[in-house]
Amino acid sequence: MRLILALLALLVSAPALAQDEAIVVHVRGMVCDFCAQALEKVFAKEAAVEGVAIDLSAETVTLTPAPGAAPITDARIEELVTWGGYDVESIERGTAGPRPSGASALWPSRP
Amino acid sequence: MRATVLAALCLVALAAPAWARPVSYPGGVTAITTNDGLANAALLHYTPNPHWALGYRLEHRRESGANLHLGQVNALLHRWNAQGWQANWYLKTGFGAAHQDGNTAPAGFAGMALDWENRRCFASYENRGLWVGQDTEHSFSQKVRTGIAPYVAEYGALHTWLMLEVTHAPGSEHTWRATPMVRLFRGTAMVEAGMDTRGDILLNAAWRF
Repeated sequence: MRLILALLALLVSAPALAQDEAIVVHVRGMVCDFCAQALEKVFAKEAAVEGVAIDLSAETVTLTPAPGAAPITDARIEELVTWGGYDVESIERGTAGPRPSGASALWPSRP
Repeated sequence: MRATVLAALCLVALAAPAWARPVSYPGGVTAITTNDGLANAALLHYTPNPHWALGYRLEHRRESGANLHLGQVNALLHRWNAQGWQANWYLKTGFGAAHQDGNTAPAGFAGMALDWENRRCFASYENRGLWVGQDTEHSFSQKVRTGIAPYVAEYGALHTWLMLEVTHAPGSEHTWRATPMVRLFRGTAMVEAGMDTRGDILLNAAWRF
């Protein structure tokens, strides 16, 4: 009986645990500290994101999801990174490993 | 008088710093001040979206005493994002007026800027044509800049660059100028200091909000 209850609790809590896992976004073109602040500012305004960590050497932005908030989607992440002036190389969640984002190699900006 | 105002306005083109990005992040406000032997200038610009920015530029010419008031619009024509480097192509335009000794003349400029950088090296080129009044007189200037970072700093740390800028302004008194300088930035503040081959001090600063 205890085993069944434990398994049920694990099943119920698994999505919540996955939701709280950090999201590692691999960003192309993020070479300037002064400019990378754009991504920090953009993600800081997102309700689904509690924390933002920039790593210029790894060219990554690590997002900490906000507890209780609806999870941020890959599409939304790509939208915000593009809005900040960069391109997404891949998005890594948990232990699933990097996934190609399908973003274009060049940012097709046209004012 | 007109020649003096023209000469002063010609030098406006030299005062637009390549390091202060013409387009910031959406919602970002950037304040820039440039100070050298020729002028003291201040530019405040706002970026509504990743493609363009608009701002107001005030500049005082030390030699002529002319004061320039210009509205400026910058457009990001294209950005190349790649693993380990980024490059940008901008169009910069400005329109406004020049005031000196009670006289006012309309003024405008247009130019483009290209830059490329990784975490170790930097290179840029920009040019600008300037028009004043209702005649066809105009001037042209261009400059290139290259830089190297003596060390690779992490995000949030103090970043240091050693740079050299060469300016070519055919219409000015001194056609060529070379300015070695040091660039420092940390967080949202950036400072550049140097001295050109004419012995004039360069001191630039920028803040982002």
